[in-house]
Amino acid sequence: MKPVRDIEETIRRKLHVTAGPALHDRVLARIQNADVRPKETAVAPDGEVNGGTDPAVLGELVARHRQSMGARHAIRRTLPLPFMTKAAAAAAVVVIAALLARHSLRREPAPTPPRRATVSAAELLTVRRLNTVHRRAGMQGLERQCEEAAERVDIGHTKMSIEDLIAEFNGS
Amino acid sequence: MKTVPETTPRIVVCMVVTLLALGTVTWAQQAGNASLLYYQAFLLYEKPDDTMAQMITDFRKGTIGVNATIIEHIEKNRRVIDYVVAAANMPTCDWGYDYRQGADLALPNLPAVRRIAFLLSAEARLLAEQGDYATALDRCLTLRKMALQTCDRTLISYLVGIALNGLANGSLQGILGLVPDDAGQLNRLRSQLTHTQEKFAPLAYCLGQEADVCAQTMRIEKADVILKMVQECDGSSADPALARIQQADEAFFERNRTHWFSSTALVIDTLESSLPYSEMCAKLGELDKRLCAEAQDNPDATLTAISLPAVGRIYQLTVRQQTHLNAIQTAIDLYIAKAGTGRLPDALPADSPRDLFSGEPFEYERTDGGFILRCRAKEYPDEDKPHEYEFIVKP
Repeated sequence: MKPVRDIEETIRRKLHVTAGPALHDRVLARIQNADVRPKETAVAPDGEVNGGTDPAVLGELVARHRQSMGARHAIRRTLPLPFMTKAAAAAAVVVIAALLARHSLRREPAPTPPRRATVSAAELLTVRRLNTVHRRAGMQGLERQCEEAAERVDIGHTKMSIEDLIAEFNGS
Repeated sequence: MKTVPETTPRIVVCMVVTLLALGTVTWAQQAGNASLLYYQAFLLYEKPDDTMAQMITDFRKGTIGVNATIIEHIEKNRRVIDYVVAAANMPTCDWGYDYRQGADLALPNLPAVRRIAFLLSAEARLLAEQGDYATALDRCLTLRKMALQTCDRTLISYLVGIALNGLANGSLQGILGLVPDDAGQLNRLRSQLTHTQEKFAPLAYCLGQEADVCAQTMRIEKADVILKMVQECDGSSADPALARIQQADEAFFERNRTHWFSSTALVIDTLESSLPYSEMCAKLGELDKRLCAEAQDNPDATLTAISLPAVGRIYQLTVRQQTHLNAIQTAIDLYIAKAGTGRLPDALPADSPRDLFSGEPFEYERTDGGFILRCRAKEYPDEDKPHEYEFIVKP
């Protein structure tokens, strides 16, 4: 935001600027509309018009500028302070809550049903697995494990024609 | 005009002959390996659904009679049976395992071997019911040959071999009673059974082979496999073996390998001693406890405790299978006697095979439908009664 002091300084340094009525009107319009503008556009940089100065005009410009700034402050002040505080607080609460929720979601994912430990058929048929099951459950255990592995790897049960295979290969 | 050099045709002929020779050798090598036929049979096997599987189990056990569904299932798998019969008669069977994988080696043929053995057993029963006794008995022998070929360098494959022999024994026991009196056929069967049993490797030999395979895992680069074994055995993260293996160096594994080989040698020596059944069981049980307990205080015994198989249990199975076969051979002697005289003898022949639980001849009891051969000692002390084998005799 353009500070008022900067504008006054600029104007004072350019005190000997000469300005005609047209420039006056333009500068006045700009200053009245001045809001948040870069410094160089807030006033006419080289306000030399008609080869003379116009301190009265400038004084009026400054006065209007002040008045305008005062109006802006007034507008800002028309919003009640508690409302701003509440809005900011509410926004902060919302942001914090959102952050906390996100953080907690990341740290503690929603509980999912426990997955059964999956062991591949190849793993079931390793010497160590078969030895272990024999030590624990004897021949019956060994039979069960062989049967379970056979169920999983069984390919004789799935029938696929050559046409199906060609379709698979072609990706259609 | 270009001329072909005189030597070119000779070179071409030599190359063709060499290629043909190489091809022939390769073909012969492949043709001599039964596993190639087995693997084809496994791929062609058409699995029964649950209902049919139960029906086939009941049929081969003799609890139900044959029906169209059973026949259809067997006929669907005719090519599978042909391949398996051809494979079983081959002199060599190399399953192609890479034993360097040690205990992490997978044995994918075992489930398929089991299933096809059930199919063969059902077909043997069907053939007997249809009156084709020679082929029915041949199928039982095929099962025993499969057992020989299945038994490889691991104790697990040895166990499956024992199971196949047990299946063959059960099938034979059911079929023998249906076979008409034919002394020649029965004598041939008896000698073939003796032959297959003699070729079946003894447990002590298999344990030595297993020791070599397991030792492949007892290396620092296979520590992850050993850790898996510990977790599978115990499941407890507090097991001292876990910490020892996690911190192990090459020297730890070397000391453990030495301990492993000396321990298995001790078990093998025990198996090769001719202790009676009950004493052998007690001795193996005591050894197993001692070797496993040693790992509590001796880090060098860590891997032995993890890897030592249930030798006592395997020994019991071996004796059970051998005793059942001895009962079948005794029964064959009785059937041969009946074929000669027209009636069952009053007592067993003097050189009858023995019940290995007691070390004595079987107790022989004639019944209305046939006879019973009974063991004179129990397999387990807490069993209700000793094993007995019932055989029927055609009126």
